[in-house]
Amino acid sequence: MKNPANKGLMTLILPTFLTLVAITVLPILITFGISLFYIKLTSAAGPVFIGLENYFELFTDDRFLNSLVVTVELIFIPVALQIVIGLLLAMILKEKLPGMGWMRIAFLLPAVIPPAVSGLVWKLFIVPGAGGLTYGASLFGMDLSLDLLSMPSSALAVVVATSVWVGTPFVALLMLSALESIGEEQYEAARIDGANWFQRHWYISVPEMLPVIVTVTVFRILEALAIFPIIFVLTGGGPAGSTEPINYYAYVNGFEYLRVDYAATIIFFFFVAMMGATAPFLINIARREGREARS
Amino acid sequence: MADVEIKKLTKSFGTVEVIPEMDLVIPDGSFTVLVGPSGCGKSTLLRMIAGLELQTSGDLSIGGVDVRGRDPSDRGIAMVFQSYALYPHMTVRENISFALRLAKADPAEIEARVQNAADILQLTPLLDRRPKQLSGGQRQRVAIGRAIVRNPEVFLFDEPLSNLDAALRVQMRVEIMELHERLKTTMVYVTHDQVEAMTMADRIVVLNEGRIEQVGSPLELYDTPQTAFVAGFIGSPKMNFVRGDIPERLGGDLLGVRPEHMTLGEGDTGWTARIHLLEQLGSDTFAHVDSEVGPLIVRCHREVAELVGRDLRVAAKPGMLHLFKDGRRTDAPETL
Repeated sequence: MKNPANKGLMTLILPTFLTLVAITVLPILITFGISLFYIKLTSAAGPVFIGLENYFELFTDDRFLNSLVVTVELIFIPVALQIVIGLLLAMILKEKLPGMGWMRIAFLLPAVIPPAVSGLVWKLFIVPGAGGLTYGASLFGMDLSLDLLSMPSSALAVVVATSVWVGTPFVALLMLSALESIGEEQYEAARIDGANWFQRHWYISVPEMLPVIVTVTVFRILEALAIFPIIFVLTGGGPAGSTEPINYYAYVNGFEYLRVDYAATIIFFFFVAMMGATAPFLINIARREGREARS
Repeated sequence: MADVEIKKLTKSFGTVEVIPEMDLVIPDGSFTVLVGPSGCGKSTLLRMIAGLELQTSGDLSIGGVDVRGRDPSDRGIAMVFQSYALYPHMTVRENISFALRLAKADPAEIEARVQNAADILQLTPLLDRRPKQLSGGQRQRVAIGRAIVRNPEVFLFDEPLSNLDAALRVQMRVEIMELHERLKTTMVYVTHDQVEAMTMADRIVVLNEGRIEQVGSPLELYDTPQTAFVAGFIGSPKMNFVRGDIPERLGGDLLGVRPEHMTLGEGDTGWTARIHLLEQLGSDTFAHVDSEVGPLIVRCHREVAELVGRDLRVAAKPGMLHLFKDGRRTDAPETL
């Protein structure tokens, strides 16, 4: 692909390329490097090279295996809910109903609140006996004064709910912009063809938005574990590790048990697993973007 | 097959009144063209017939059935849009059969009706393609096919040819007229192009600012326009208008003469004139003339080219005058 017109472009690309190497590729390689050593921060002895021993340990570590399960739960349940609810909200927001302008603004609030604050908001909401949830339940004559964060399944549900609450508005916004790019006449034609509101969206919106839905889903999956601060504030990974995903377990190892090497092992393993799972989609998205940019 | 009857129909968008009050009957089996300049309310009227827009007040019935409050799919109509409005992710076959599949029709019947529509519109080889792989004309035929399979009582066309190039537009015009010949179904066709209206319609409804100016056959509108607006809107090039003393002497305020009803030569009757521009179309020649009563357009033979630059006379042929007072037609004398 020697194109004389592209001569000199390397000088333009190089700074971005080097920055990317410095802030992404190098840290990953260093992390991998650390994971190959035995490092005891509290001793004066230097690091000892142990090869892949840390990786073997991973698969006999019950707490790690549990965190794997939690990770899968905390990625797929919230992302699935975010996509479905986001899509539905976008469909509703597209309707020209009174007050929709304000609704759209109100709606974005969870997305602009820092995650740690969102976690606190939810923590206050579900305070047993005093929070908004208890109050709301009492309006319907129910007595709800359980501590939801004290039981594994309900604690996980609270983390999932918070994650959905934080992540959905952004998804809805992306879906809405995709939805509004579909020609209105198609919906009118479908109305004449006898399609009801749901059918119009099912047969027209969803198929036409599919590329956007796939892209948003992949990126939400990659970002799903960014709910670290929410977990930190809400549950600290408990009770009994029920809300402890892989990155939280890595944090515990690195900063509480001071096992930096093991934390690096967990993080590197996680990186490889995520890349393996999403690479086909990412490559597809990149190719499509490239095609669209060229055409 | 059905007629469309509109009684005291009004439409406002907020405080803006688009259609003040309208009465109109579109006869069963007719090819009625709604024509008028942009913003005259013709598309709004069509969309109200379709049920895509609700009337503010008044009655609307199709085939004698009051359709107020009925869904678009329940009015016995089918519509063809300017943008074609095809579903891009579906094949031609899926596009055409969409309404039938939604209605859960018998698969064998769906196949038969799709095949029938494809035969009429010569779409059979294209049935498994997607809209993206079709030309503009083919896409419009698919849109028409989607309308045909529904066996509508009334076809509605909203400027269906506006997105096509000139040659294709002429071809599709003929195809739509042939379709009407074949199906004999009521067709309501919206356009801003008066040539389309003249060539396709058996009835034209001229609209201006939400009001009906005149309803009639193309030639009625051409020969006896009832208002100055219709006189100026129908016909290409436009009718020549003369204001001032001359129409006032005849009892009106506006005198109209069509370009082909004028003569241009070196005689001594008529208004003094000079050619300042010639438009050669091959079959016709249009002379743009500066005359003592203002600029005029005259249809001539091509030999008129020899007269450029000379002092000429332009005159109206006898019996071809149109006189208007306050915008309405009034009796005109045979000659000036």
